[in-house]
Amino acid sequence: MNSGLPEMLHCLNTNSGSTDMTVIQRQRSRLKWQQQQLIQHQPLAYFNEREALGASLLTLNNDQGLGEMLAPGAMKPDPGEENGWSDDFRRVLNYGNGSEFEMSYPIPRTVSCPPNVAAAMAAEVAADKGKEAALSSETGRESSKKRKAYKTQNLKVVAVDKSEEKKMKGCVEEESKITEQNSNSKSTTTTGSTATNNKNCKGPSANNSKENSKASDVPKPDYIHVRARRGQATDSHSLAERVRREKISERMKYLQDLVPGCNKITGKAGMLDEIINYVQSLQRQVEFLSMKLAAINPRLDFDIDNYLAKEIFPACTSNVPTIGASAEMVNPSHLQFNSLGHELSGTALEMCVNPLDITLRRTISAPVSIPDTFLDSSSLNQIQHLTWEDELQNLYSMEYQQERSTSFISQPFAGTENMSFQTLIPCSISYTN
Amino acid sequence: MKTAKNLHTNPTSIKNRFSLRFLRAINKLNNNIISTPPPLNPADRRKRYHAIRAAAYASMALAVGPNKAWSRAVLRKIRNRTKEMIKPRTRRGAVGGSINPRNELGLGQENELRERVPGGEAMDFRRLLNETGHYIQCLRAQVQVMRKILHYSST
Repeated sequence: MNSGLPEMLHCLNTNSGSTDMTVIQRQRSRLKWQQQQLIQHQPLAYFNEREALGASLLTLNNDQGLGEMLAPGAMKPDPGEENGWSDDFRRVLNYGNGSEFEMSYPIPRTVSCPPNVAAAMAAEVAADKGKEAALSSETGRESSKKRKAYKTQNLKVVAVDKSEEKKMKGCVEEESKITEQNSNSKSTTTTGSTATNNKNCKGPSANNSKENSKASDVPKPDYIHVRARRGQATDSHSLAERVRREKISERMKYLQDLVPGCNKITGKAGMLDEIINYVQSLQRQVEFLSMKLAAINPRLDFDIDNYLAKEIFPACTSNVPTIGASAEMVNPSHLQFNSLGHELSGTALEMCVNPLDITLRRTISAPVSIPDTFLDSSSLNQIQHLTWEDELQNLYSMEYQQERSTSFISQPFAGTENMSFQTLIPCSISYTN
Repeated sequence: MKTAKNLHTNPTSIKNRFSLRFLRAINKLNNNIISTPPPLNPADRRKRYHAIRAAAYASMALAVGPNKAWSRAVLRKIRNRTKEMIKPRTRRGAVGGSINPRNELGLGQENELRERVPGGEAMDFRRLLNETGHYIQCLRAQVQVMRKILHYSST
Protein backbone atom coordinates (compact mmCIF):
# COMPACT_ATOMS: atom_id res chain seq x y z
CA MET A 1 0.00 0.00 0.00
CA ASN A 2 2.62 2.45 0.95
CA SER A 3 4.67 1.56 -2.02
CA GLY A 4 1.68 1.83 -4.27
CA LEU A 5 0.58 5.23 -3.15
CA PRO A 6 3.39 7.39 -4.37
CA GLU A 7 3.21 5.80 -7.73
CA MET A 8 -0.43 6.46 -7.94
CA LEU A 9 0.06 9.98 -6.82
CA HIS A 10 2.57 10.40 -9.49
CA CYS A 11 0.16 9.15 -12.04
CA LEU A 12 -2.51 11.41 -10.77
CA ASN A 13 -0.35 14.44 -10.87
CA THR A 14 0.84 13.84 -14.36
CA ASN A 15 -2.67 13.22 -15.43
CA SER A 16 -3.98 16.32 -13.89
CA GLY A 17 -1.53 18.32 -15.87
CA SER A 18 -2.69 17.10 -19.23
CA THR A 19 -6.28 16.98 -20.27
CA ASP A 20 -5.94 13.88 -22.31
CA MET A 21 -5.01 11.18 -19.94
CA THR A 22 -2.81 8.25 -20.34
CA VAL A 23 -5.17 5.41 -20.00
CA ILE A 24 -2.72 2.70 -19.19
CA GLN A 25 -1.18 4.53 -16.32
CA ARG A 26 -4.47 5.21 -14.77
CA GLN A 27 -5.63 1.70 -15.09
CA ARG A 28 -2.49 0.37 -13.60
CA SER A 29 -2.63 2.67 -10.67
CA ARG A 30 -6.23 1.90 -10.09
CA LEU A 31 -5.66 -1.81 -10.15
CA LYS A 32 -2.92 -1.46 -7.63
CA TRP A 33 -5.10 0.58 -5.44
CA GLN A 34 -7.83 -1.95 -5.56
CA GLN A 35 -5.59 -4.83 -4.82
CA GLN A 36 -4.24 -3.09 -1.84
CA GLN A 37 -7.65 -2.34 -0.66
CA LEU A 38 -8.60 -5.92 -0.99
CA ILE A 39 -5.65 -6.95 0.99
CA GLN A 40 -6.29 -4.60 3.82
CA HIS A 41 -9.87 -4.56 4.86
CA GLN A 42 -9.53 -2.54 8.00
CA PRO A 43 -11.03 0.88 7.72
CA LEU A 44 -8.64 2.45 10.14
CA ALA A 45 -5.71 1.69 7.96
CA TYR A 46 -7.46 3.31 5.05
CA PHE A 47 -8.18 6.16 7.20
CA ASN A 48 -4.63 6.88 8.06
CA GLU A 49 -3.46 6.41 4.62
CA ARG A 50 -6.09 8.56 3.21
CA GLU A 51 -4.98 11.29 5.47
CA ALA A 52 -1.45 10.70 4.47
CA LEU A 53 -2.48 10.85 0.87
CA GLY A 54 -4.25 14.09 1.42
CA ALA A 55 -1.29 15.55 3.18
CA SER A 56 1.09 14.51 0.48
CA LEU A 57 -1.17 15.84 -2.17
CA LEU A 58 -1.40 19.11 -0.40
CA THR A 59 2.30 19.30 -0.11
CA LEU A 60 2.45 18.69 -3.79
CA ASN A 61 0.43 21.90 -3.98
CA ASN A 62 -2.45 20.58 -5.95
CA ASP A 63 -6.07 21.44 -5.40
CA GLN A 64 -7.02 22.65 -2.02
CA GLY A 65 -10.24 20.91 -2.65
CA LEU A 66 -8.49 17.66 -2.02
CA GLY A 67 -8.17 18.50 1.60
CA GLU A 68 -11.82 19.25 1.71
CA MET A 69 -12.57 16.08 -0.08
CA LEU A 70 -10.54 14.03 2.24
CA ALA A 71 -12.06 15.50 5.32
CA PRO A 72 -15.52 13.98 4.84
CA GLY A 73 -13.81 10.82 3.83
CA ALA A 74 -12.05 10.77 7.13
CA MET A 75 -15.29 11.08 8.99
CA LYS A 76 -16.68 7.92 7.59
CA PRO A 77 -14.26 5.16 7.05
CA ASP A 78 -16.34 3.33 4.52
CA PRO A 79 -16.89 5.95 1.86
CA GLY A 80 -13.31 6.88 2.18
CA GLU A 81 -12.50 4.52 -0.56
CA GLU A 82 -14.78 6.26 -2.90
CA ASN A 83 -13.34 9.53 -1.90
CA GLY A 84 -10.02 8.31 -2.94
CA TRP A 85 -11.43 7.35 -6.22
CA SER A 86 -13.19 10.57 -6.75
CA ASP A 87 -9.94 12.24 -5.96
CA ASP A 88 -8.56 10.31 -8.77
CA PHE A 89 -11.24 11.55 -11.08
CA ARG A 90 -10.89 15.07 -10.04
CA ARG A 91 -7.25 14.95 -10.48
CA VAL A 92 -7.51 13.64 -13.95
CA LEU A 93 -10.22 15.94 -14.99
CA ASN A 94 -8.79 19.06 -13.47
CA TYR A 95 -11.98 19.95 -11.84
CA GLY A 96 -12.45 23.14 -9.93
CA ASN A 97 -12.65 23.25 -6.22
CA GLY A 98 -16.17 24.52 -6.05
CA SER A 99 -17.86 21.34 -7.03
CA GLU A 100 -16.07 19.01 -4.76
CA PHE A 101 -18.29 19.12 -1.77
CA GLU A 102 -21.20 18.27 -3.88
CA MET A 103 -19.31 15.52 -5.44
CA SER A 104 -18.69 13.93 -2.13
CA TYR A 105 -22.33 13.80 -1.20
CA PRO A 106 -23.63 11.05 -3.38
CA ILE A 107 -20.91 8.74 -2.39
CA PRO A 108 -22.08 7.77 1.08
CA ARG A 109 -25.47 7.26 -0.33
CA THR A 110 -24.21 4.78 -2.79
CA VAL A 111 -22.73 2.89 0.02
CA SER A 112 -25.94 2.79 1.91
CA CYS A 113 -27.70 0.45 -0.48
CA PRO A 114 -25.17 -1.75 -2.15
CA PRO A 115 -27.24 -4.61 -3.59
CA ASN A 116 -29.19 -2.52 -6.07
CA VAL A 117 -26.27 -0.63 -7.32
CA ALA A 118 -24.42 -3.64 -8.48
CA ALA A 119 -27.16 -4.28 -10.98
CA ALA A 120 -27.33 -0.65 -11.87
CA MET A 121 -23.68 -0.68 -12.48
CA ALA A 122 -23.96 -3.54 -14.88
CA ALA A 123 -26.58 -1.64 -16.76
CA GLU A 124 -24.44 1.42 -16.86
CA VAL A 125 -21.47 -0.40 -18.13
CA ALA A 126 -23.46 -1.46 -21.10
CA ALA A 127 -25.05 1.92 -21.47
CA ASP A 128 -22.04 4.10 -21.12
CA LYS A 129 -19.91 2.70 -23.85
CA GLY A 130 -20.71 5.37 -26.36
CA LYS A 131 -21.75 8.09 -24.04
CA GLU A 132 -18.82 10.39 -24.32
CA ALA A 133 -20.28 12.24 -27.25
CA ALA A 134 -23.56 12.89 -25.57
CA LEU A 135 -24.19 16.14 -23.82
CA SER A 136 -24.89 14.74 -20.44
CA SER A 137 -21.71 12.86 -20.08
CA GLU A 138 -21.23 14.58 -16.79
CA THR A 139 -23.92 12.46 -15.27
CA GLY A 140 -21.82 9.50 -16.08
CA ARG A 141 -19.21 10.84 -13.83
CA GLU A 142 -21.23 10.60 -10.74
CA SER A 143 -22.46 7.21 -11.58
CA SER A 144 -18.99 6.18 -12.44
CA LYS A 145 -17.93 7.17 -9.02
CA LYS A 146 -20.55 5.03 -7.47
CA ARG A 147 -19.60 2.27 -9.70
CA LYS A 148 -16.11 2.63 -8.53
CA ALA A 149 -17.19 2.21 -5.00
CA TYR A 150 -18.82 -1.06 -5.70
CA LYS A 151 -16.21 -2.22 -8.00
CA THR A 152 -13.79 -2.25 -5.16
CA GLN A 153 -16.21 -4.44 -3.36
CA ASN A 154 -17.32 -6.57 -6.22
CA LEU A 155 -14.08 -6.85 -8.10
CA LYS A 156 -15.51 -5.90 -11.42
CA VAL A 157 -12.65 -3.93 -12.59
CA VAL A 158 -11.63 -3.98 -16.15
CA ALA A 159 -14.76 -3.41 -18.15
CA VAL A 160 -15.88 -0.64 -15.89
CA ASP A 161 -12.57 1.05 -16.15
CA LYS A 162 -12.73 1.16 -19.86
CA SER A 163 -16.18 2.57 -20.02
CA GLU A 164 -15.24 5.09 -17.43
CA GLU A 165 -12.30 6.42 -19.23
CA LYS A 166 -14.38 6.92 -22.26
CA LYS A 167 -16.70 8.97 -20.22
CA MET A 168 -14.07 10.99 -18.54
CA LYS A 169 -12.97 12.42 -21.80
CA GLY A 170 -16.40 13.66 -22.53
CA CYS A 171 -16.90 14.88 -19.03
CA VAL A 172 -14.77 17.89 -18.93
CA GLU A 173 -16.99 20.54 -20.41
CA GLU A 174 -20.12 19.71 -18.50
CA GLU A 175 -19.07 20.70 -15.08
CA SER A 176 -21.56 23.44 -14.54
CA LYS A 177 -24.47 21.12 -14.33
CA ILE A 178 -23.23 19.24 -11.37
CA THR A 179 -25.28 21.08 -8.84
CA GLU A 180 -28.53 20.42 -10.54
CA GLN A 181 -27.62 16.83 -11.00
CA ASN A 182 -26.81 16.52 -7.38
CA SER A 183 -30.06 18.02 -6.30
CA ASN A 184 -31.79 15.50 -8.46
CA SER A 185 -29.89 12.62 -7.09
CA LYS A 186 -30.49 13.74 -3.55
CA SER A 187 -34.19 13.50 -3.97
CA THR A 188 -34.08 9.94 -5.16
CA THR A 189 -32.45 6.79 -3.97
CA THR A 190 -29.14 5.75 -5.28
CA THR A 191 -30.56 3.41 -7.81
CA GLY A 192 -32.94 6.10 -8.70
CA SER A 193 -30.17 8.56 -9.19
CA THR A 194 -28.20 6.28 -11.37
CA ALA A 195 -31.23 5.48 -13.38
CA THR A 196 -32.16 9.11 -13.74
CA ASN A 197 -28.69 9.88 -14.83
CA ASN A 198 -29.04 7.31 -17.45
CA LYS A 199 -32.34 8.72 -18.36
CA ASN A 200 -30.83 12.08 -18.84
CA CYS A 201 -28.73 10.63 -21.51
CA LYS A 202 -31.17 8.27 -22.95
CA GLY A 203 -34.46 9.99 -22.89
CA PRO A 204 -37.40 8.78 -20.90
CA SER A 205 -39.33 6.81 -23.43
CA ALA A 206 -36.90 4.17 -24.51
CA ASN A 207 -34.08 2.94 -22.40
CA ASN A 208 -31.69 0.17 -23.00
CA SER A 209 -32.92 -3.30 -22.49
CA LYS A 210 -31.05 -3.82 -19.28
CA GLU A 211 -32.32 -0.81 -17.45
CA ASN A 212 -35.86 -0.82 -18.62
CA SER A 213 -37.15 -2.25 -15.40
CA LYS A 214 -35.23 0.16 -13.32
CA ALA A 215 -36.05 3.36 -15.10
CA SER A 216 -39.75 2.77 -15.06
CA ASP A 217 -40.33 3.29 -11.36
CA VAL A 218 -38.14 6.35 -11.04
CA PRO A 219 -39.56 9.88 -11.00
CA LYS A 220 -38.47 12.06 -13.86
CA PRO A 221 -35.74 14.55 -13.21
CA ASP A 222 -36.58 18.15 -13.95
CA TYR A 223 -33.38 18.70 -15.82
CA ILE A 224 -33.16 17.01 -19.15
CA HIS A 225 -30.71 17.69 -21.89
CA VAL A 226 -32.21 15.89 -24.77
CA ARG A 227 -35.56 14.30 -24.95
CA ALA A 228 -36.33 11.70 -27.48
CA ARG A 229 -39.83 11.48 -28.75
CA ARG A 230 -41.53 8.18 -28.99
CA GLY A 231 -40.10 6.11 -31.73
CA GLN A 232 -36.92 8.10 -32.07
CA ALA A 233 -33.58 6.52 -31.77
CA THR A 234 -32.05 6.91 -28.37
CA ASP A 235 -28.51 5.79 -28.65
CA SER A 236 -26.04 8.50 -27.92
CA HIS A 237 -24.93 9.02 -31.47
CA SER A 238 -28.32 9.75 -32.77
CA LEU A 239 -29.00 11.93 -29.79
CA ALA A 240 -25.92 13.95 -30.45
CA GLU A 241 -26.86 14.11 -34.06
CA ARG A 242 -30.28 15.37 -33.13
CA VAL A 243 -28.78 18.09 -30.98
CA ARG A 244 -26.53 19.08 -33.80
CA ARG A 245 -29.39 19.21 -36.22
CA GLU A 246 -31.42 21.32 -33.88
CA LYS A 247 -28.67 23.81 -33.54
CA ILE A 248 -28.15 23.89 -37.26
CA SER A 249 -31.80 24.45 -37.92
CA GLU A 250 -31.77 27.23 -35.38
CA ARG A 251 -28.96 28.90 -37.23
CA MET A 252 -30.78 28.32 -40.45
CA LYS A 253 -33.79 30.05 -39.04
CA TYR A 254 -31.67 32.99 -38.13
CA LEU A 255 -30.23 33.10 -41.60
CA GLN A 256 -33.69 32.81 -43.01
CA ASP A 257 -34.65 35.93 -41.20
CA LEU A 258 -31.56 37.60 -42.44
CA VAL A 259 -31.92 36.80 -46.10
CA PRO A 260 -34.81 38.57 -47.73
CA GLY A 261 -37.24 36.42 -49.58
CA CYS A 262 -36.07 33.31 -47.82
CA ASN A 263 -39.10 32.98 -45.64
CA LYS A 264 -41.26 31.24 -48.14
CA ILE A 265 -38.76 28.62 -48.99
CA THR A 266 -38.97 25.40 -47.08
CA GLY A 267 -36.30 22.81 -47.11
CA LYS A 268 -32.72 23.13 -46.27
CA ALA A 269 -31.38 22.83 -49.77
CA GLY A 270 -33.56 25.60 -51.09
CA MET A 271 -32.69 27.81 -48.20
CA LEU A 272 -29.04 27.17 -48.68
CA ASP A 273 -29.43 27.99 -52.32
CA GLU A 274 -31.10 31.21 -51.46
CA ILE A 275 -28.46 32.10 -48.93
CA ILE A 276 -25.73 31.35 -51.39
CA ASN A 277 -27.41 33.46 -53.99
CA TYR A 278 -27.80 36.28 -51.59
CA VAL A 279 -24.20 36.18 -50.50
CA GLN A 280 -23.17 36.02 -54.08
CA SER A 281 -25.31 38.94 -55.03
CA LEU A 282 -23.96 40.96 -52.17
CA GLN A 283 -20.44 40.17 -53.18
CA ARG A 284 -21.24 41.13 -56.72
CA GLN A 285 -22.75 44.31 -55.51
CA VAL A 286 -19.60 45.13 -53.65
CA GLU A 287 -17.58 44.41 -56.73
CA PHE A 288 -19.88 46.46 -58.86
CA LEU A 289 -19.78 49.34 -56.47
CA SER A 290 -16.05 49.23 -56.25
CA MET A 291 -15.93 49.19 -60.01
CA LYS A 292 -18.09 52.24 -60.10
CA LEU A 293 -16.02 53.94 -57.51
CA ALA A 294 -12.96 53.12 -59.49
CA ALA A 295 -14.60 54.54 -62.55
CA ILE A 296 -15.65 57.73 -60.93
CA ASN A 297 -13.02 58.68 -58.54
CA PRO A 298 -9.68 58.61 -60.18
CA ARG A 299 -9.24 62.22 -61.04
CA LEU A 300 -11.68 63.68 -58.68
CA ASP A 301 -10.28 65.09 -55.62
CA PHE A 302 -13.49 65.50 -53.80
CA ASP A 303 -13.26 62.22 -52.12
CA ILE A 304 -11.04 64.00 -49.71
CA ASP A 305 -13.82 66.41 -49.06
CA ASN A 306 -16.11 63.53 -48.71
CA TYR A 307 -13.78 62.06 -46.27
CA LEU A 308 -13.41 65.30 -44.43
CA ALA A 309 -17.09 65.76 -44.20
CA LYS A 310 -17.49 62.26 -43.02
CA GLU A 311 -14.83 62.52 -40.49
CA ILE A 312 -15.96 65.82 -39.17
CA PHE A 313 -19.61 65.14 -39.20
CA PRO A 314 -20.23 61.57 -38.27
CA ALA A 315 -17.26 61.49 -36.01
CA CYS A 316 -19.17 63.71 -33.67
CA THR A 317 -22.57 62.35 -34.44
CA SER A 318 -21.19 58.90 -35.01
CA ASN A 319 -23.93 58.05 -37.35
CA VAL A 320 -23.60 57.13 -40.94
CA PRO A 321 -27.09 57.89 -42.12
CA THR A 322 -26.60 61.56 -41.39
CA ILE A 323 -24.04 61.57 -44.11
CA GLY A 324 -26.51 60.21 -46.51
CA ALA A 325 -29.01 62.74 -45.37
CA SER A 326 -26.61 65.59 -45.73
CA ALA A 327 -25.57 64.31 -49.08
CA GLU A 328 -29.14 64.27 -50.09
CA MET A 329 -29.52 67.71 -48.72
CA VAL A 330 -26.75 68.85 -50.91
CA ASN A 331 -27.62 66.95 -53.94
CA PRO A 332 -31.10 67.92 -55.05
CA SER A 333 -30.16 71.40 -56.04
CA HIS A 334 -27.44 70.09 -58.29
CA LEU A 335 -28.92 66.83 -59.10
CA GLN A 336 -29.20 67.15 -62.80
CA PHE A 337 -25.89 68.68 -63.21
CA ASN A 338 -24.23 66.11 -61.11
CA SER A 339 -25.79 63.31 -62.97
CA LEU A 340 -24.43 64.79 -66.09
CA GLY A 341 -21.03 64.93 -64.59
CA HIS A 342 -21.33 61.36 -63.60
CA GLU A 343 -22.25 60.26 -67.04
CA LEU A 344 -19.45 62.22 -68.55
CA SER A 345 -16.94 60.72 -66.28
CA GLY A 346 -18.31 57.41 -67.36
CA THR A 347 -17.69 58.30 -70.94
CA ALA A 348 -14.23 59.43 -70.22
CA LEU A 349 -13.41 56.19 -68.62
CA GLU A 350 -15.34 54.07 -71.03
CA MET A 351 -16.56 51.97 -68.22
CA CYS A 352 -19.72 50.34 -69.26
CA VAL A 353 -21.12 49.15 -66.03
CA ASN A 354 -24.69 49.85 -66.69
CA PRO A 355 -26.79 49.59 -69.83
CA LEU A 356 -28.30 52.87 -68.90
CA ASP A 357 -24.88 54.31 -68.71
CA ILE A 358 -24.04 52.95 -72.06
CA THR A 359 -26.97 54.49 -73.75
CA LEU A 360 -26.39 57.77 -72.09
CA ARG A 361 -22.82 57.71 -73.02
CA ARG A 362 -23.73 57.13 -76.60
CA THR A 363 -26.03 60.04 -76.63
CA ILE A 364 -23.41 62.14 -75.06
CA SER A 365 -20.44 61.08 -77.03
CA ALA A 366 -22.10 61.39 -80.38
CA PRO A 367 -22.20 65.16 -80.55
CA VAL A 368 -18.95 66.81 -79.94
CA SER A 369 -20.52 70.13 -79.26
CA ILE A 370 -22.06 69.04 -76.11
CA PRO A 371 -23.84 71.90 -74.45
CA ASP A 372 -27.01 72.01 -76.48
CA THR A 373 -27.82 68.38 -76.17
CA PHE A 374 -27.06 68.57 -72.56
CA LEU A 375 -29.32 71.39 -72.03
CA ASP A 376 -32.06 69.58 -73.75
CA SER A 377 -31.59 66.35 -72.03
CA SER A 378 -31.10 67.73 -68.59
CA SER A 379 -33.83 70.32 -69.04
CA LEU A 380 -32.36 72.78 -66.71
CA ASN A 381 -34.27 75.88 -66.06
CA GLN A 382 -31.52 78.21 -65.14
CA ILE A 383 -28.44 77.62 -67.11
CA GLN A 384 -25.39 79.67 -67.23
CA HIS A 385 -22.83 79.13 -69.87
CA LEU A 386 -19.53 79.78 -68.42
CA THR A 387 -16.17 79.60 -69.90
CA TRP A 388 -13.64 77.13 -68.81
CA GLU A 389 -11.44 79.67 -67.10
CA ASP A 390 -14.30 81.15 -65.20
CA GLU A 391 -15.31 77.82 -64.06
CA LEU A 392 -11.88 77.00 -62.92
CA GLN A 393 -11.59 80.16 -60.97
CA ASN A 394 -14.93 79.57 -59.45
CA LEU A 395 -13.95 76.12 -58.63
CA TYR A 396 -10.72 76.84 -56.99
CA SER A 397 -12.27 79.43 -54.84
CA MET A 398 -14.96 77.00 -53.94
CA GLU A 399 -12.61 74.30 -53.09
CA TYR A 400 -10.54 76.61 -51.04
CA GLN A 401 -13.61 77.62 -49.21
CA GLN A 402 -14.54 74.14 -48.62
CA GLU A 403 -11.28 72.98 -47.35
CA ARG A 404 -11.44 75.72 -44.85
CA SER A 405 -15.01 75.53 -43.86
CA THR A 406 -15.91 72.61 -41.77
CA SER A 407 -19.51 73.54 -42.12
CA PHE A 408 -21.40 71.43 -44.51
CA ILE A 409 -22.69 73.77 -47.16
CA SER A 410 -24.10 72.80 -50.44
CA GLN A 411 -22.01 75.34 -52.24
CA PRO A 412 -18.58 73.79 -51.92
CA PHE A 413 -19.74 70.46 -53.02
CA ALA A 414 -21.29 71.88 -56.08
CA GLY A 415 -17.95 73.42 -56.73
CA THR A 416 -16.12 70.20 -56.43
CA GLU A 417 -18.60 68.41 -58.52
CA ASN A 418 -18.13 71.00 -61.13
CA MET A 419 -14.48 70.59 -60.97
CA SER A 420 -14.74 66.96 -61.59
CA PHE A 421 -16.93 67.61 -64.50
CA GLN A 422 -14.68 70.13 -66.03
CA THR A 423 -11.45 68.45 -65.60
CA LEU A 424 -12.94 65.75 -67.65
CA ILE A 425 -14.35 67.83 -70.41
CA PRO A 426 -12.74 71.07 -71.27
CA CYS A 427 -15.55 72.83 -72.97
CA SER A 428 -18.33 75.12 -72.07
CA ILE A 429 -20.49 73.76 -69.40
CA SER A 430 -23.85 74.22 -67.94
CA TYR A 431 -23.60 75.39 -64.46
CA THR A 432 -26.34 75.86 -62.01
CA ASN A 433 -25.81 77.46 -58.74
CA MET B 1 -31.48 49.86 -47.67
CA LYS B 2 -34.76 48.58 -46.41
CA THR B 3 -33.10 46.67 -43.64
CA ALA B 4 -31.08 49.59 -42.42
CA LYS B 5 -33.05 49.72 -39.25
CA ASN B 6 -32.41 46.09 -38.61
CA LEU B 7 -28.75 46.62 -38.91
CA HIS B 8 -28.59 49.59 -36.68
CA THR B 9 -28.56 47.46 -33.61
CA ASN B 10 -25.30 45.84 -34.31
CA PRO B 11 -23.15 47.12 -37.11
CA THR B 12 -23.50 50.84 -37.04
CA SER B 13 -20.14 51.03 -35.46
CA ILE B 14 -18.87 48.57 -37.98
CA LYS B 15 -20.33 50.73 -40.69
CA ASN B 16 -18.59 53.74 -39.35
CA ARG B 17 -15.32 52.00 -39.00
CA PHE B 18 -15.63 50.54 -42.42
CA SER B 19 -16.46 53.82 -44.08
CA LEU B 20 -13.59 55.58 -42.42
CA ARG B 21 -11.11 52.96 -43.41
CA PHE B 22 -12.46 52.66 -46.86
CA LEU B 23 -12.39 56.34 -47.56
CA ARG B 24 -8.92 56.59 -46.22
CA ALA B 25 -7.83 53.81 -48.51
CA ILE B 26 -9.49 55.43 -51.47
CA ASN B 27 -7.77 58.64 -50.67
CA LYS B 28 -4.50 56.93 -50.62
CA LEU B 29 -5.24 55.37 -53.95
CA ASN B 30 -6.28 58.68 -55.35
CA ASN B 31 -3.16 60.33 -54.19
CA ASN B 32 -1.21 57.71 -55.99
CA ILE B 33 -3.21 58.00 -59.11
CA ILE B 34 -3.41 61.73 -59.36
CA SER B 35 0.22 61.82 -60.25
CA THR B 36 -0.48 59.78 -63.35
CA PRO B 37 -2.03 61.45 -66.37
CA PRO B 38 -5.82 61.43 -66.46
CA PRO B 39 -6.68 59.06 -69.25
CA LEU B 40 -6.11 55.68 -67.80
CA ASN B 41 -5.50 52.76 -70.03
CA PRO B 42 -7.60 49.70 -69.38
CA ALA B 43 -4.92 47.94 -67.47
CA ASP B 44 -4.63 50.81 -65.07
CA ARG B 45 -8.31 50.96 -64.70
CA ARG B 46 -8.48 47.34 -63.90
CA LYS B 47 -5.72 47.67 -61.43
CA ARG B 48 -7.52 50.48 -59.80
CA TYR B 49 -10.71 48.52 -59.69
CA HIS B 50 -8.99 45.64 -58.02
CA ALA B 51 -7.28 47.93 -55.62
CA ILE B 52 -10.55 49.50 -54.63
CA ARG B 53 -12.20 46.18 -54.27
CA ALA B 54 -9.39 44.92 -52.13
CA ALA B 55 -9.63 48.10 -50.11
CA ALA B 56 -13.30 47.52 -49.62
CA TYR B 57 -12.84 43.95 -48.48
CA ALA B 58 -9.86 44.69 -46.33
CA SER B 59 -11.41 47.65 -44.65
CA MET B 60 -14.51 45.64 -43.96
CA ALA B 61 -12.49 42.85 -42.49
CA LEU B 62 -10.46 45.26 -40.41
CA ALA B 63 -13.59 46.93 -39.22
CA VAL B 64 -15.00 43.62 -38.14
CA GLY B 65 -11.85 42.66 -36.36
CA PRO B 66 -10.10 39.35 -35.89
CA ASN B 67 -12.87 37.64 -33.99
CA LYS B 68 -14.60 36.32 -37.02
CA ALA B 69 -13.08 33.66 -39.14
CA TRP B 70 -14.18 35.19 -42.37
CA SER B 71 -12.50 38.49 -41.71
CA ARG B 72 -9.31 36.70 -40.83
CA ALA B 73 -9.57 34.74 -44.03
CA VAL B 74 -10.17 37.84 -46.07
CA LEU B 75 -7.17 39.56 -44.61
CA ARG B 76 -5.05 36.51 -45.09
CA LYS B 77 -6.05 36.24 -48.68
CA ILE B 78 -5.37 39.86 -49.36
CA ARG B 79 -2.04 39.72 -47.67
CA ASN B 80 -1.02 36.60 -49.46
CA ARG B 81 -1.78 37.82 -52.90
CA THR B 82 -2.08 41.49 -53.30
CA LYS B 83 -0.89 41.20 -56.82
CA GLU B 84 -3.37 38.94 -58.44
CA MET B 85 -6.89 39.28 -57.31
CA ILE B 86 -8.59 38.07 -60.40
CA LYS B 87 -7.50 34.51 -60.54
CA PRO B 88 -9.05 33.17 -57.39
CA ARG B 89 -12.28 34.88 -58.18
CA THR B 90 -12.64 33.21 -61.52
CA ARG B 91 -11.46 29.94 -60.15
CA ARG B 92 -13.89 30.19 -57.34
CA GLY B 93 -16.77 30.85 -59.65
CA ALA B 94 -15.77 27.96 -61.85
CA VAL B 95 -15.54 25.59 -58.95
CA GLY B 96 -18.88 26.65 -57.63
CA GLY B 97 -20.41 26.07 -61.00
CA SER B 98 -18.95 22.63 -61.24
CA ILE B 99 -20.06 21.62 -57.79
CA ASN B 100 -23.54 22.95 -57.94
CA PRO B 101 -25.23 20.48 -60.28
CA ARG B 102 -23.50 17.58 -58.70
CA ASN B 103 -25.52 17.38 -55.59
CA GLU B 104 -29.06 18.31 -54.84
CA LEU B 105 -29.09 17.13 -51.30
CA GLY B 106 -27.60 20.05 -49.52
CA LEU B 107 -24.06 18.86 -49.54
CA GLY B 108 -23.34 20.60 -52.80
CA GLN B 109 -24.91 23.73 -51.49
CA GLU B 110 -22.93 23.41 -48.36
CA ASN B 111 -19.74 23.19 -50.33
CA GLU B 112 -20.72 26.14 -52.37
CA LEU B 113 -21.50 28.12 -49.29
CA ARG B 114 -18.13 27.18 -47.94
CA GLU B 115 -16.58 28.63 -51.00
CA ARG B 116 -18.68 31.71 -50.85
CA VAL B 117 -17.91 32.58 -47.30
CA PRO B 118 -14.24 33.33 -46.96
CA GLY B 119 -12.48 31.00 -44.64
CA GLY B 120 -15.43 28.69 -44.59
CA GLU B 121 -13.61 25.68 -45.91
CA ALA B 122 -12.50 24.34 -42.59
CA MET B 123 -15.45 24.90 -40.33
CA ASP B 124 -18.16 22.63 -39.17
CA PHE B 125 -21.53 23.41 -40.55
CA ARG B 126 -22.92 25.23 -37.58
CA ARG B 127 -20.01 27.56 -37.40
CA LEU B 128 -20.28 28.08 -41.10
CA LEU B 129 -23.85 29.18 -40.69
CA ASN B 130 -22.86 31.54 -37.92
CA GLU B 131 -20.17 33.05 -40.02
CA THR B 132 -22.47 33.28 -42.95
CA GLY B 133 -24.96 35.26 -40.94
CA HIS B 134 -22.37 37.70 -39.79
CA TYR B 135 -20.84 37.89 -43.20
CA ILE B 136 -24.17 38.68 -44.76
CA GLN B 137 -24.79 41.44 -42.29
CA CYS B 138 -21.42 42.95 -42.90
CA LEU B 139 -21.72 42.68 -46.64
CA ARG B 140 -25.02 44.42 -46.45
CA ALA B 141 -23.58 47.21 -44.41
CA GLN B 142 -20.71 47.43 -46.81
CA VAL B 143 -22.99 47.70 -49.76
CA GLN B 144 -24.97 50.40 -48.07
CA VAL B 145 -21.95 52.43 -47.22
CA MET B 146 -20.43 52.06 -50.63
CA ARG B 147 -23.66 53.02 -52.23
CA LYS B 148 -23.81 56.07 -50.12
CA ILE B 149 -20.30 57.01 -50.99
CA LEU B 150 -21.02 56.50 -54.62
CA HIS B 151 -24.20 58.41 -54.45
CA TYR B 152 -22.52 61.14 -52.58
CA SER B 153 -19.57 61.42 -54.83
CA SER B 154 -21.19 60.91 -58.17
CA THR B 155 -24.83 61.70 -58.50
